[in-house]
Amino acid sequence: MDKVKVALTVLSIMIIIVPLVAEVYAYKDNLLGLVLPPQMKNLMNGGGNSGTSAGPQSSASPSLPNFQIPQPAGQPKYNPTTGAFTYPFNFTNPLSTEISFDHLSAQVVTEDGTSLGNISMPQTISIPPGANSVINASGNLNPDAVNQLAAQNTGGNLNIALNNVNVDVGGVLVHIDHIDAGSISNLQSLTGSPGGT
Amino acid sequence: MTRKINWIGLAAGIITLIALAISLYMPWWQLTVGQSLIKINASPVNTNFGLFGTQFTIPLIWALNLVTILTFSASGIIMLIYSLVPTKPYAKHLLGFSYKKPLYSVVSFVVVLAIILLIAGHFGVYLPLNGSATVTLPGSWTMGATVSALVSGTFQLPFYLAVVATALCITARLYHSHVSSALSESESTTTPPVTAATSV
Repeated sequence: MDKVKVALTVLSIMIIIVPLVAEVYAYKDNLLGLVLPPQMKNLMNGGGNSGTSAGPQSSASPSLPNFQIPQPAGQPKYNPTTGAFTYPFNFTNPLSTEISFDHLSAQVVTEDGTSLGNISMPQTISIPPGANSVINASGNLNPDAVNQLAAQNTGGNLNIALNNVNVDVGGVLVHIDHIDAGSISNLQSLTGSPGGT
Repeated sequence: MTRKINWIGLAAGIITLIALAISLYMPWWQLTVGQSLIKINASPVNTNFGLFGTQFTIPLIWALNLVTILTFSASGIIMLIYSLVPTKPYAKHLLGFSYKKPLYSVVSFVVVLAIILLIAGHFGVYLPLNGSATVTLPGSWTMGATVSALVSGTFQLPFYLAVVATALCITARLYHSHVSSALSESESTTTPPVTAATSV
């Protein structure tokens, strides 16, 4: 009877001690690695290539990505005939799985805050793993406001900004109050001729 | 003479082993952020993290998971052995070893989970234990942008199975007294009274 009790006690101790000691022994040269696998280190360092590793911490994907919110790419385009306004955003899917870019909307304003119109993304875009995609947010600017600004602004370029930028990427909602969005060039000529940028 | 079996212990042992087998493939609790941008599969048996599509485990947690796998296995097997011989003198030791383990696992898992969520809340990130919530990251983390995401925390089937196994283990412990006392009574009624030998 006592033998059973002793055997069970020994079993309890062995079950706890053996795996922990074995794991510590396996990482005896790198004890920090016990709590900080390479993938986590890379995440803390802002992404990059972690390389492959053996053992229980091995990963399905060898690297952790730099995850960045969409960045403005290039200058906005404006068609004075139709009032159509397009603004390109650049987004790289850093994941090893496809990601959906569900929503983008913003208010286009001048430097002094005058509203020119709204832009949004016409449809959901799926971006394959690792791919870079230019997302065009488009909308119509108020022609009267643009013409008025063109009449006032003889310098040629109209600096614009985006207010209340809302982005939904991969289920994460990002709201940015204000982004300087570049300029619509040669504004004087745009009031009379289509196709300007 | 019919063999005594602690049927509740037998069920407890079987459910414990089933809960262990399922837990190897399914987490007890899962946290998902956005469209699986971040996924945490938590369980005393198999905990792993998915951050931006990369799966990994923490080696120390992996070792603790292995401890729980062995503990659960031993608990389930010894509970089964006990159930078949509940009247043996050593049965109480077998029961004492096996019935507590699932209880410890479930309680410690819930406590650790609650502590982690409380710590996250302390840093302004309020994660749901069971259900969905829109979590907004503190502005100091996001350089002026407001970043929020739908976060879902859900207990899954293996957790509920482990709770059932725990309840059955405790019930088996309580039922053991009934099995023992029933045996004592039957022994006392079937044992012939000792009488003085008479000689002719």
